[in-house]
Amino acid sequence: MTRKKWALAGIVVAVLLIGVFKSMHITGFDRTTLSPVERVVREVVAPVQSGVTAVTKSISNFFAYFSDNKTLREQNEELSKKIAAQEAEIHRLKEQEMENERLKKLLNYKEEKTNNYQLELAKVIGRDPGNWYETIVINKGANHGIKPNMAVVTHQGLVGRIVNVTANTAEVLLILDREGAVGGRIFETRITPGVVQGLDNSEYLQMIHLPHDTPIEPGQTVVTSGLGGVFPKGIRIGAVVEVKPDANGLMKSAVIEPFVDFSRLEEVFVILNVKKPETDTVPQVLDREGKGGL
Amino acid sequence: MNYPVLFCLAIMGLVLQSTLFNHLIIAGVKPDIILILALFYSIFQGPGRGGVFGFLLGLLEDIFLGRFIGMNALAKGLTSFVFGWIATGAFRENLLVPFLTLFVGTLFNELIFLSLGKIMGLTWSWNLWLWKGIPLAIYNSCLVPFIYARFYNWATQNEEAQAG
Repeated sequence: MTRKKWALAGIVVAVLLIGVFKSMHITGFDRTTLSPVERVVREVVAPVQSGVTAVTKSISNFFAYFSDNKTLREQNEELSKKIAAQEAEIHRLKEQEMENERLKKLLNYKEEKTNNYQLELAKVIGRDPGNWYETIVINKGANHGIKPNMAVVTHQGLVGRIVNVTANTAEVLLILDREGAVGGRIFETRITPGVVQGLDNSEYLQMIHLPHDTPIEPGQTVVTSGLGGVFPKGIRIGAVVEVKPDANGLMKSAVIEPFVDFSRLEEVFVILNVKKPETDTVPQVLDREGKGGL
Repeated sequence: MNYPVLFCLAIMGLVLQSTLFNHLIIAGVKPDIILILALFYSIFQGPGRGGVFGFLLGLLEDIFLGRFIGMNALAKGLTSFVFGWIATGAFRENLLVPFLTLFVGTLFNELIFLSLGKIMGLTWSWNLWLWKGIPLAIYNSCLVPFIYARFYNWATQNEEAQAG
């Protein structure tokens, strides 16, 4: 290259650099308007930009749907598992709470009656498989000192009596059964002996053979009379709900609502030994839930 | 028929009746699985075998109960015999056959059982037959759609297998 050409190139470069720097200087942030060239370019490119952006966004959203959906599903599954586990835990705790409540009442009863009875706690493990007898099976038997004709109670009242035993189980004939009749009397009057027996196909009992002039009225409490020798006297049986005369007019009978909720029997006490009958002490008269009343 | 399986079913039925079914009590009664099994068997096998099978299942129940051993055996044996005889030749594929057999059979069985109980000196009133018998007959019959198809398939498969 000749010297002349070198000089020309130098001048062009210098002018270009000056032009670029000038351009950089005047197109800074201070500028409020664009040049016509820039405006044309931007206006032409803008729709394309917009289209491409929209498509890109759609594609991005499309793939994001899968990834988000997967994440959400995983989260959902995890949360569902957590909820199920917590529900199971709540259920277990509620069961334990109810069991604690029951056992606390039974323990209170045992402590309260410690001077009266020697009690053996047993769990109900089964009921009569048929529809004709009212019996339950408990998980304690001869090995625990249980014998036939022992009385069975809960903190609510009288349940029934033992009818047969094996080494580790015993069958209890409930007072609801017609064959499980028990001698009873009215607690308030301390007289009025009668027989309390099951009422056909019902959760109520009936007190029969009451003389027509017997002072008995709804709301009174029926306790065991101790006659017959099977049940100790003074154990709560139920409350009188109705009194009606017999057909012959000489006697009357009373319908009794038992204190024990036989449909929810889970634990019971077997009275192994009577130290002192309950009538020698102040009888504990509670309502059906065993909380207070009367 | 596969007798060990039937025996296991009967034992399972007894255990369920004394435990789980106490939560399924409707109108004061729970279903009598043993009677249902005995009557279904009688529909397939006729009065002779049905009667013997019903008797054995009833005896099993009596032994399980440990009380008045023979009462359930007699009642269920007689019921299975009578209704096995009545159902002889009936179109057992028709759901009405087991339905009616169970309904009337349950009433019959409860009547026999109540009569035997009274003979034994139990202080049951005759009203109990209505109070317990009718709800139980309805309850047992209502279980037909859930149980009979399975029993039918199982029994016919057994028959085919025995036939060769």
